[in-house]
Amino acid sequence: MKLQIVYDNSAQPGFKAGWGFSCYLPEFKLLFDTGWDVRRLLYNMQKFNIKLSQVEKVVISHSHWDHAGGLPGIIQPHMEIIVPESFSEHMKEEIRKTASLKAVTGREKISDGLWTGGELGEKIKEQSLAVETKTGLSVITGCAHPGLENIFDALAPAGKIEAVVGGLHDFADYQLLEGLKLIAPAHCTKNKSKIRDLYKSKYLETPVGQTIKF
Amino acid sequence: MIIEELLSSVAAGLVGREVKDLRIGFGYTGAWLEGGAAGVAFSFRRQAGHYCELKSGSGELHQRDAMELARLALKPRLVDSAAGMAVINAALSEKIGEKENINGDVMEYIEVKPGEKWGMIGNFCPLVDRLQNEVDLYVFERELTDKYLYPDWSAPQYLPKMDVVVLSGTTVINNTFDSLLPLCENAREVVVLGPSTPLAPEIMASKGVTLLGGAVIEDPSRAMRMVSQAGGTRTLLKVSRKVNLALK
Repeated sequence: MKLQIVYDNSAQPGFKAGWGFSCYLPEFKLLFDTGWDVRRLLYNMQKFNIKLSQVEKVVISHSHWDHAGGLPGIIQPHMEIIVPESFSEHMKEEIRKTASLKAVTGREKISDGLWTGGELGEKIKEQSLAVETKTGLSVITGCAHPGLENIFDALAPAGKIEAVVGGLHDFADYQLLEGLKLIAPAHCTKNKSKIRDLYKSKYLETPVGQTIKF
Repeated sequence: MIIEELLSSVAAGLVGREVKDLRIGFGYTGAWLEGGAAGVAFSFRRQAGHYCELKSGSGELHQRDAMELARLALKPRLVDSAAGMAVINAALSEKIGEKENINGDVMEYIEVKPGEKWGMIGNFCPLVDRLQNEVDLYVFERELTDKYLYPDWSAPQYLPKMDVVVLSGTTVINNTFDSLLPLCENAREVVVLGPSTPLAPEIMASKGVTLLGGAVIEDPSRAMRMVSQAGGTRTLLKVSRKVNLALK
């Protein structure tokens, strides 16, 4: 199982960085979030040889510019766009004009081996994903605004959580990461250096261009 | 970049000059130039971040050279850029003559054609109330607190289709103005509105802006007190006069 970072605040040489987050899961033909600047997103996708015609599903974690901003520039009729139920009604209507729309509320399987934790959070509603691997679950977050503990709780019934990739915002409950095999904090994670110091052997940077294997 | 042009336009009046007072309030940031005018800029309090010290040098900022403070407008942190823009706006308002202003409602200077598409960057509630039944209105905001709002990230998709665009003056502070303006090329009117609006008619006209709806503070002392006491637009307008400058 592979995950390719196509948008992040940092980038490997040859790729373009930008504030925001997006990653691609080739096995599911799924793009998670879109970053902000669609030109950077498409540039990075092209570097990975990912064509928009291949992308079947686009999951938007939450309606913030640095995660959903690229959506209008990539949406195509063959795509299914999966958003939290509370997503802007205007934008849901706009998506329906071009592609098929799925609005999620609770935890559900969106493909064989792939789960959404459903819409979580109070002020900022957000969904996260979990990919089934041979031994457990790898969680993918946009910003983790609802709190990583709540995200883990929502996804735990689908399997044992072994990895987390994505933005963790101001997460500081470090014990929660104790049993994980892989920790790859991205984008907005405020306490990256602390997490890296605590979990050196499991820690992975997430610049654009990075491929993570589960 | 508009901020650089604004800085050049006010440099002569700011270099070597002191700032009498600088206040960073919850609603607005205010600057009062020694022997001169005051200006305000919106405080992005929600985006200020969590720091032990929001602004380094606080307590002594007003002792710095006014041009040095104005250059803070170039900084990425919004606490800094608002402070810089408040100084720039103070300097710009000194250039606005008494006769130049049109003290009144900005809507008197824009023709409302029923059915036209209007785009608004910033949720100007009084304008929304007046326009929503007359025009096809798209209001873009970062925080979607009302159902009629569109997320800010969708603005590039819609703005090129608008007949009239109203941009908040705050777009200069958060550095989105330069990327939004090219999207307004098809609009018959491009308005920059609100107390943060830089009253720089030549610069704004060269960017394609057709109308400025800002404010000049008439009682700096009270305005600075209002800023410190979390005053907002309505409060500040009690000590200001609205200035509408038609640019075409």
